[in-house]
Amino acid sequence: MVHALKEVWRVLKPGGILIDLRPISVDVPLLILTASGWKSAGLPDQSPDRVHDFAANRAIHRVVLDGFFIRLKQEYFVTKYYWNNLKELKSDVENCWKEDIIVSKEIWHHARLLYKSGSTQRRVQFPLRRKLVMYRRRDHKEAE
Amino acid sequence: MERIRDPEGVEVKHLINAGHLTGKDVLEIGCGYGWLTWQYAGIANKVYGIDPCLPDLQEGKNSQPDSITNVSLAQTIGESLPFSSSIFDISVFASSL
Repeated sequence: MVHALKEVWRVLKPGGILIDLRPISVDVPLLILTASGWKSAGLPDQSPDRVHDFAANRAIHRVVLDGFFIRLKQEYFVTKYYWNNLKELKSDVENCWKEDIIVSKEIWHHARLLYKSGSTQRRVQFPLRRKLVMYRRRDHKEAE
Repeated sequence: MERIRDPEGVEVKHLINAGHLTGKDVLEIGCGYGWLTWQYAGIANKVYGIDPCLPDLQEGKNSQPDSITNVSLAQTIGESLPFSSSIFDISVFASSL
């Protein structure tokens, strides 16, 4: 990762901007949406993905310390993912997010109960938290 | 039916507002199938999207909107960028750092 960041430094123009945009592995609720509102089925465990977060944070910290970039600002926001039913979500978790997230049997069970008890207009929502951090390319002259 | 990702467009709004992408030359690292790329490419000058996953890039090329003509997608990794020095205004790690 550090090498990739140094490559980005190389291809950026002087004063160019690096944007680190990624999900953060904080536990957020799995929601069942109905016409009358939403209910939480519980908090899936996103701790398996935190090792990637920490590694990325260490890499960016390294290149900032080494004088390649200056941190400008950071912001957080939520992006929502929707599925029409739990089967679709389960397929995505098993095929795409298996190494990143753990949905316990209890949460699946609770989600099924909520889904069955809902109206016909049901959807499943997973609101992922994301962060955007901006850095400015630092010229070597600035470090001197 | 696949998952619907961020239909409200929150992610691209934050990216555009933060990066002031209008008229800029952008390198997107980890562009995948271009889900984010196609949303902002229209306001940028040129966009180069890279990703190590060839099937994703192929899907991206197949789904490229006809109105977007300023995007190039290439298979490579961030550790070895096939570009000259000092050519991009902005580089985005799109969930890829």
